[in-house]
Amino acid sequence: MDRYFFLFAFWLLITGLAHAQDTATPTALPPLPGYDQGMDRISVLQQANEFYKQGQYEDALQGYLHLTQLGVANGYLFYNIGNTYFRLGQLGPAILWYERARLYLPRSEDLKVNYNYARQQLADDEFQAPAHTGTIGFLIHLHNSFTLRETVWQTLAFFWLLILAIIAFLFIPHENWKNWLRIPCWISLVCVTLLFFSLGIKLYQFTSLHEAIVMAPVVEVRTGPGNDLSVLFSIHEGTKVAVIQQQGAWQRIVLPGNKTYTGWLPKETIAEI
Amino acid sequence: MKFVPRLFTYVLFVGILATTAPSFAAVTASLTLPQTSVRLGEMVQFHLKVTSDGDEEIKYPKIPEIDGLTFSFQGSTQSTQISIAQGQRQFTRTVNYTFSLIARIEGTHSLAGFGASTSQGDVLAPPVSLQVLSSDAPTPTPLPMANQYGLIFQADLNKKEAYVGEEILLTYTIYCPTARGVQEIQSPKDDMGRFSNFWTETVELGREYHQRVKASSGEIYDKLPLVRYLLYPLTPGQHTIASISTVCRIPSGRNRGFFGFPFEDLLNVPIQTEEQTITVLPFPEEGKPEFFKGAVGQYQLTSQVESAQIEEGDTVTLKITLQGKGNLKNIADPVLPDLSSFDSYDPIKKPTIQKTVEGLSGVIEYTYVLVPHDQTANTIEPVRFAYFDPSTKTYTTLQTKPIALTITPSSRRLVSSRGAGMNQRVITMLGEDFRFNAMGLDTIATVNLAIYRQWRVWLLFALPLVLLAATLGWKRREMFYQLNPSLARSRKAPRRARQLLAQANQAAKEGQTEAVYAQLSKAITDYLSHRYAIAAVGMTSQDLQAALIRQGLPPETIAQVQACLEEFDGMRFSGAGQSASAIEDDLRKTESVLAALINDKY
Repeated sequence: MDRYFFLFAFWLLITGLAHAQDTATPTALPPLPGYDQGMDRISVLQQANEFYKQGQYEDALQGYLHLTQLGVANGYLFYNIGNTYFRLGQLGPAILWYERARLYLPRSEDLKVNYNYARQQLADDEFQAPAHTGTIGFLIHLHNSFTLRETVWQTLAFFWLLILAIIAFLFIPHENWKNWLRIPCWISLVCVTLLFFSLGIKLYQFTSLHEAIVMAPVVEVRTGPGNDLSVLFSIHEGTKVAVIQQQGAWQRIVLPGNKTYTGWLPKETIAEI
Repeated sequence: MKFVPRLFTYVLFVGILATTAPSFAAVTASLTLPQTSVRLGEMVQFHLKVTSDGDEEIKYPKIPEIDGLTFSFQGSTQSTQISIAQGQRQFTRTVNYTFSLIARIEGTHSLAGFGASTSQGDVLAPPVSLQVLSSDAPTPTPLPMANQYGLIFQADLNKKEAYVGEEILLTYTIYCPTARGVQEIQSPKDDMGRFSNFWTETVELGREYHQRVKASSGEIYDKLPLVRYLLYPLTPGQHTIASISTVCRIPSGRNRGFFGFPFEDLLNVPIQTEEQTITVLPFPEEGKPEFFKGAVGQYQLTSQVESAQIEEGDTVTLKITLQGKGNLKNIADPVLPDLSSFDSYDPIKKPTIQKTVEGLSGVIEYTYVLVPHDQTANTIEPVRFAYFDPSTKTYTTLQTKPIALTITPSSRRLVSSRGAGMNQRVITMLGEDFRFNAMGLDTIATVNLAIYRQWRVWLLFALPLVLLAATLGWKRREMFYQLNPSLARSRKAPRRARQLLAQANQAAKEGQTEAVYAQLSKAITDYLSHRYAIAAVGMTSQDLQAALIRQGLPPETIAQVQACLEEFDGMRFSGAGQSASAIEDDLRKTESVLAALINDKY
């Protein structure tokens, strides 16, 4: 009886931890122009969608941005904001919100199409990292196909599978069954190794890599943090940069894909993804 | 009469030659010099560009020998462009050779004889002339007035008059007397607003040779190019480009004395360019095509379809390529013909543009996806494009060849629910377009990407490790007991005794007196057997006492064990009349004996 109670409690603990979510506290909506007073989030979303359908992009944008101010972090919402900015002809913010949406929706075909469509309008032909093919290319594709959150759960699932398979292997007395158990053991071991590697890269990208989008029409990148220093090159609205250093109101950036293009620009000319 | 058959034979021969002649690739060569004059002993880099429009292999460059000039080969770059037109591959191969020359003899030289060897023979670039000045000759362009420190900040325009859309190269250069030397130059206070009448592109300076020039005053200057722009005028009229200023740090030349600061004493010298005026000419009205939309430069236009033979309902991909040099970033799309017999979609525009000191050059590819309405839509009429060439001051109209399409009935005939024989349309992706918003309510569900910040997640990672460690520990313990069975039995003895006591309790509740005493007796003998390896069942009371004494048990415990076993032996066969309280007493007594044995520390 005691044993069953322990197992039940253990199962409750695992499932409870797995389904634990941060519950967002409901926040009262401040007044929003074009929207009725006291609307809840769903009504604001529906009203914003209606404005978008009717081509009232400014009003739609107000609603979508308002939802983000209330703490809603969702790839579809960011995608909608990117679309609305693009319809308003603001390429920099559109690319910025598409990039944010890509963190949440790496496999969304709609997002991919609109993002590429917007990027075709960029003034700068960005440097592209060399494309990999074969096994490495496939692994990179897999790595890029999942969000950080999904990778954490996948790693946990395969890690549990591996450990449970090892434990079962230790207990099962029949040699024949042990032979069969070797297959899930090896599969989960390979998956866990790859997933831990992928998770490590994702955590590094998420915590240490600060990418940003140029918001100003043209930005001159200088040799140091000061307007009196020489201009190295100029970049245009919508171009992606990686921020590597900050000093006061200036940030040092590098162009992804070509590390030789590095320099300083005013902080207010870019927005972090 | 003999003349007619002979003429016919000639015509036939020429005709056969014309139709069977191999299509040789066109190879062209051109020479580019960055300047038209050099001084004696000065080194200049120049380029030879060889382009082949076919499979022609460019073997090696030809370098002539010219008296007074010494050439050396610096290196080459090669690029190949492959395109498919009307189902045929077309190659465009470009090799860029870089040479340097050193002027040895004064005078005007013609750089003729540069080219490349191909299978068709040598292809030579048009000659270019170069003037070699004496080593102390002043710079051909007079420099502006120097300031009191001898510094000059010059805004140099390559032309003062240009048409709307024609490129103008503006270079800001600092001239510093060689004897003085500049330690540091601040970036100019560059307000892009002064270019309000121009479309502007910044040109990279690249690795430029350190140059020295001699002014008409005889002073020798270091020439330091600072920044370079390509300007494309947007409106006609007189446009002024305001001056810009910067600060140079130069050695002051003051005597620092013996105890002076050890580093060079530097002086901040502000310098300023002069205002520049450019006359921008409007486009001439004479000969202006009606569809001219402001393209300036030199261009080529081609069009092709991926497949000219299609089935009804299929799409035609029309690719229009505009290639050339000029205001490429600012031009309107080529004019399409009437496409009313097609469904057409927004084009995909792919520009590939390079910036050099000679201006913008490159290719813009337009891809149109067309769907013919029916089999009568069998021709795509010419695409047109007009541009103004400022070098000839004339307009040029480009026109592609009409493209004939062969549209056959669709072979994808499938059985239809609406009747046999209907043409079922194959769903085809017509092109990529902007996609609509996500409208679902899941748009406002908050997704926490950074779940790694939650302690619960780390606990979930740690739990399997703990589980594995516990399992391994348990497994190891089991293995140890397998190797030491007596120790295992000894460890299990108390548990086994408790189980038998529990069974005796159960039997007492059910009123099975014999079974109670059998279990109690067994609890004590099993414990002795497991813990001390004493087979108490087959022993006499004296033997048991002796064995327990050998184990070092206290005499009172030994006496209790003996008393219990003797009593329970009798009760196992004659205890039916035993009262419940007496049984309860015996249970407590057994518990007490076992407790004494279990707590035995000897």
